[in-house]
Amino acid sequence: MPNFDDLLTRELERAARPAAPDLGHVEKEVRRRRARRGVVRRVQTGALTVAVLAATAGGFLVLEDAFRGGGTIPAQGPLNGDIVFVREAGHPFEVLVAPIDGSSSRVLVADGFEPAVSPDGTQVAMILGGERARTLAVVPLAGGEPRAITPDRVGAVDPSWSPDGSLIAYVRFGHDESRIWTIRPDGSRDQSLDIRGFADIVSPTWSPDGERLAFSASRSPENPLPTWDLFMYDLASEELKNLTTSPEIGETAVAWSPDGSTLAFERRQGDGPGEIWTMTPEGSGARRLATGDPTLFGPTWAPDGTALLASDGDSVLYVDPDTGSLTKLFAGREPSWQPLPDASLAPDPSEEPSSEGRDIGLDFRICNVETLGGIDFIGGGPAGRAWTGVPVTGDGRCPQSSFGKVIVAVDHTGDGLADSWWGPIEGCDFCRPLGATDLDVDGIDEIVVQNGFSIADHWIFRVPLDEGAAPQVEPILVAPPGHEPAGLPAGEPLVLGVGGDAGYSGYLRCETYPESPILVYTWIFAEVDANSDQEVHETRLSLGDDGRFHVVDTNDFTVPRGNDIPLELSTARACGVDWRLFP
Amino acid sequence: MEATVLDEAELRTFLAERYPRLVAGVALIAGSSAAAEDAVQEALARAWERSDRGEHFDSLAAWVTRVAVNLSKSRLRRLRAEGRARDRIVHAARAAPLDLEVRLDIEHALAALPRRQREVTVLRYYLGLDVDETAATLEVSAGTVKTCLFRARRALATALGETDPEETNDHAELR
Repeated sequence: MPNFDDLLTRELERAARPAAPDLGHVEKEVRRRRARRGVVRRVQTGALTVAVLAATAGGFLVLEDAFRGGGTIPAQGPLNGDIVFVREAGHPFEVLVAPIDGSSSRVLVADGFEPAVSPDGTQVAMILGGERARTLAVVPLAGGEPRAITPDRVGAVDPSWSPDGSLIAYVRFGHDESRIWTIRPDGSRDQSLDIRGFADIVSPTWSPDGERLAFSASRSPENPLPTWDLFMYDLASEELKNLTTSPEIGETAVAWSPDGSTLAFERRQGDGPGEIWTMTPEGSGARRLATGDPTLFGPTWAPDGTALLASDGDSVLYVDPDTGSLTKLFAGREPSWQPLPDASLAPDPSEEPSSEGRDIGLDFRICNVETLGGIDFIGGGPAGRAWTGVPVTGDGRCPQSSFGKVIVAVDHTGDGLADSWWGPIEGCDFCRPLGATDLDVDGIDEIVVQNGFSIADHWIFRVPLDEGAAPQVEPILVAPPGHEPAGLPAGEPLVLGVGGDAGYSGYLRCETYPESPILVYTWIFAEVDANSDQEVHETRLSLGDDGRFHVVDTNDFTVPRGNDIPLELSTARACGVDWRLFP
Repeated sequence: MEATVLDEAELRTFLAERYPRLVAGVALIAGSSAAAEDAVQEALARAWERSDRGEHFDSLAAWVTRVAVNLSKSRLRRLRAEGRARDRIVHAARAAPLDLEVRLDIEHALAALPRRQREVTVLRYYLGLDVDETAATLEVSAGTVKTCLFRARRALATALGETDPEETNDHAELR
């Protein structure tokens, strides 16, 4: 009798019959996927090596000839990370990243300016140049392609992150009037504040409690320097107050200190030098801190509040907040200092791998943490947060593989700590909270979790606020009858695949948003390397009052290979979320 | 064992020596050769990305296999929903008249197994991993592998109309 092991092996060999693939094509495909994953090769360089990658996005260069001394380089401090700044490189402005000692730097974006590092230190908002001039974008500080979050060439300038990272304030510069807008980092909820009558506005800056915005502005269409003053706007009461009214002096470029006690700003009188002054947020106690030769621009605070950075137009300067002494750091301007997590405070998850995971307030630590702020879980403001991650194993260590172990956790109270979690999410591997949006228009956000795969699967979670029960995050299920052909069975979590590979492709768009949001999901299958028809399954979905997605209608049909699908398929952003992978 | 990285040269070697068989194996698990190609290519891209970041692999093949097998899982639900289409891929596109019956038998038998049993069967009997290697690839214990193999063999023997000699000796040590 033949050995059963041999029989199994033989049967499997006969069944499998490995194909003879075009390995050149496969190699090309692997390269394409690697590139699409946004890989930036980080070349480790020692200090003061030759700069060879100056014009290459993501490359490192050294500020060997840029460093100019002028004083002792101050200590960086445990809460202060790298400095993001701008330097002119021919016509475009490069956005670079460097430590305070300028020992090395790398180009973050080849054509951008006015960078602002997010409060969690992981993202940089900036204004794009070139063909997308005056477009607001966000890019990971670690590197990657900038993601535009406003329409192109919208006239955006001066981005500023809210203290919790949920919003970016920026100025839309117009011919007749400039206005302050706020937008979520994912590009949703782009809306203007009701601050009118200014020809030009510069440097909106948030109070540390997120309740007020200070900014500098001019009401004069010609906006000569003396017409610039500082203003304070209360976001709740919409009250606008003049902080300065000096007719002969221009005050601009204001920055709020991290402890909330001090405003630093640029001040000029006539043709005199630009100076850095400070005063209280109420407009009292103004005093000169530093004088430039010939001038100083744009003060910005160190994350720990112990120093300021400014620029003389050529170099980034360190400003001692007590003495006003200046130390040149390196060539550049428009500095923004990266905050680092304060280990002594509440846990602040990061993407950095850790063998022991991170404490986000649950009974266990989690690893491979991804986070998203600015979520309104209670209808009381965007103070909530969502995380994805993998619980540590029984021995308190991070597991080798995250597959099938990813959970989602939320802080719906806004205290910075997770209140509930759900998981593991089936099939989730490289997951992250992608965005928040109010799909049932009840004033409370749902959150979208994306699995970074060639077809990116998306789960949508909610936190029901039922009386008598502690709010628990949960996936939103598909109500009967569902739509099986589109992979949307009733009673299971809604999983929407967006992207394409291996004969499958998924698209998503939004209808009649925001009045009555309908997610329109189109799932297409066409056998690879064959002449079969394309099977098309269109499903319209609406989030009902019962907290489930209901199939409004379906549309299933086939289209001969090579023919266009007679449907509107996809937009990058649908119902307030950009569903693309690595948009 | 010498740690390796995935660079261009290693990728080409991997593609030439291992790719077709790994795709075929994952296809047996996932039920779709297209999904298997997708998963293996994605796993290779991720291995390359990790190598770019300075990571080394004790066994590149084991890592790619594990990740590809895992990645293929997330496609299963969708593939099930597209059952008619998948059936066409499996039963028409890849079928050859002479051994159609045999292939359908084993494929149907495999498809009827629980996922974990299907994985250990393919890794053990098609990709040629031993029990320890299978356990390491799937991140389970060797005991789990042996248990799954035992149950899979019994189910496959029944489905294929064969007798598994080791079924009569439950205590037989699986290799």
